[in-house]
Amino acid sequence: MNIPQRMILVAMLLCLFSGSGVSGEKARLGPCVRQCIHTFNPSLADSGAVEFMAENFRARECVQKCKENIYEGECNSLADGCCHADYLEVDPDCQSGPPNPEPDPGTNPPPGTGPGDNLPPDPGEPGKATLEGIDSDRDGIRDDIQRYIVVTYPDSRKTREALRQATIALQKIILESPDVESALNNTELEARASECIRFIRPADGREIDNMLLAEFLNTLERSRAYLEYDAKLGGHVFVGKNIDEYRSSCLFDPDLMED
Amino acid sequence: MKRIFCLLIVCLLGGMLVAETCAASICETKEAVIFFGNGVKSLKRDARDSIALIEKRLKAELLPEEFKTLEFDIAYNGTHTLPLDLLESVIQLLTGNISKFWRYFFGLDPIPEWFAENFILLAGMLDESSLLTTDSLAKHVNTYKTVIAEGKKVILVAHSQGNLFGNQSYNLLESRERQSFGMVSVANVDNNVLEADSPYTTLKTDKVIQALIAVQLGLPTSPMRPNTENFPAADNFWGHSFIDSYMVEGSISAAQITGDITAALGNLATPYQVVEPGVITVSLTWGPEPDVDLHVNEPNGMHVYWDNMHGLSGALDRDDRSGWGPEHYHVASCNTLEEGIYTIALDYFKGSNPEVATLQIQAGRLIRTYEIPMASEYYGSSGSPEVVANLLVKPGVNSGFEFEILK
Repeated sequence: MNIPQRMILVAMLLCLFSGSGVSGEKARLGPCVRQCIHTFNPSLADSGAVEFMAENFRARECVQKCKENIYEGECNSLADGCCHADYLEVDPDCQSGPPNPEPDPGTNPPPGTGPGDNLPPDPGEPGKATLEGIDSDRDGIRDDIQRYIVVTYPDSRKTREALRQATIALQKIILESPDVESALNNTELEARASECIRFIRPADGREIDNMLLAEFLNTLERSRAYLEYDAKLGGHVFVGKNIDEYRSSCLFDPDLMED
Repeated sequence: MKRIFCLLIVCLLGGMLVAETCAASICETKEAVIFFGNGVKSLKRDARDSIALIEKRLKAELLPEEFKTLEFDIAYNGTHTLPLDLLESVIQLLTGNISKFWRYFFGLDPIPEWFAENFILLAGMLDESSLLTTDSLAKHVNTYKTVIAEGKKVILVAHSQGNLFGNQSYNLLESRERQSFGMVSVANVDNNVLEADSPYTTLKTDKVIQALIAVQLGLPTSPMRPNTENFPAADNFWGHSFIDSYMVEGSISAAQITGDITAALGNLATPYQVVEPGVITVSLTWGPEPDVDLHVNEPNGMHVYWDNMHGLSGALDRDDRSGWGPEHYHVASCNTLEEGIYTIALDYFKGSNPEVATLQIQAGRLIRTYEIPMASEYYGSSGSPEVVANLLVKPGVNSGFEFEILK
């Protein structure tokens, strides 16, 4: 039996023997897991979906990555199911509650869980040497932008998540828009991310979105790549979401975050 | 089997594809489409913010039942290298801080004189012929024609160079279509509004328009004279921004622009419906050769074309055999929409010269326009339609449907 088959079998057994079962219940899909799934497949845009359950093995891989702190500082044990190793072994889908209660809001978070903890070092000039930049922790976000987001918005996790979504879209845009068709696909990712930012920050969403872009396009090469992408959109017609529908553009659940 | 394989590939390559949710608003029939046509300093993200602001203002202005009948789209005009030319022209002055350029560009930091001067110089050097790329114009006109054929009014809110596109688009419409096409002109760099002395809004504090009038480079005639003054004027360097100068909440210009849109909604004629609207529409037009045919294979296996015009999901509601088109397929509502792949193909059925077909697919919020040259080897090749695109419909995350258009 190969590994995927084995994983599917394990998942089925868990469904059968678990007290609560997985069927009819949404899988845990916090911001870290969403982020991870999104890097696999942006079309699995939202949470708790039938598609997500069908892609359960991928989700579990994302849970594992979150647990291993690949997305350092962003892991939410309750929402992401990124519980410690012992917990994962007894309940790999993280369907039960966490083994230890979450710290009360207002108390200091334990070391290593704050937004500024475990940030990669400033890449400096070497970080500007290539189009893609340096992503030392391989979270899909360039180190300089990862730092910018955390340092600029330390008090709003929702804002950080929305800007991470936007950064992933921007990175795809400058790296993977060689033709009109790919530019048209990528512009939808950018639009959804921008809508999410404006949902999270109705008063200043446009400003912080443009500030992120200004920070992101910090070299001539990156600026040129973005403008070449934008030029490919000329002549096309786009239908945006209604403002009332912006919430659904977020690839994470803002309701799971307090700030 | 082949389709199942395609679906598997689609799933595996999901990371490369984009889905659009068919939300309730998509399933509703609209009566008018409001487009925003941007100027050359606006990136697509700016255009998106502009149309969102128009939507917001109209939502506050109109009755809910009136507002519900409106759709808001972007007819995007490329920036024609202006931002890149500007960046390259000032790069020495940025002393390596490229992010600073973008902060000036978006108005996030106070704009220095040297930056403004370079922008005005470059904007003044753009001539109309270089702005109006024919393929961009053709795609926009094709969209306007399709919308009007579906019985909806079109209102283009044109800003800056978007006015040149709007006026040229109007010239390319038939007289019947012109009665349902309106333009709300803002910061007009052209010398007319739809060939007439129609209302427009240009601020007296608009430095870009002032400079273009002064330099008189490139443009055929002088832009329309500034005619509006805000009290107090917006604290915006250029005075030209659609959002930050013209649509400032409570300003005279914003009230004027919103008023022009609502007036156009009331004054334009509701077009005679030539084709049916729907949650999926496929519209085919071409040139003078007699017959290019549209073929659609529905997920249920039905082959819909001129000899079998009704499928189980949708229908070919217009077949044309005398040149130009349109031929039109539609799925009327979300009730008959099917999950699976709709394969869209063309057949150059009858003709004796090379032809160019234009195919526009709209599925939910996704619109794609393809221009397909049909060379001599396709003449009269009836019965062998060439696949142009596959439209994948799958269940939405929470409800409704998602669409992907695959080339």
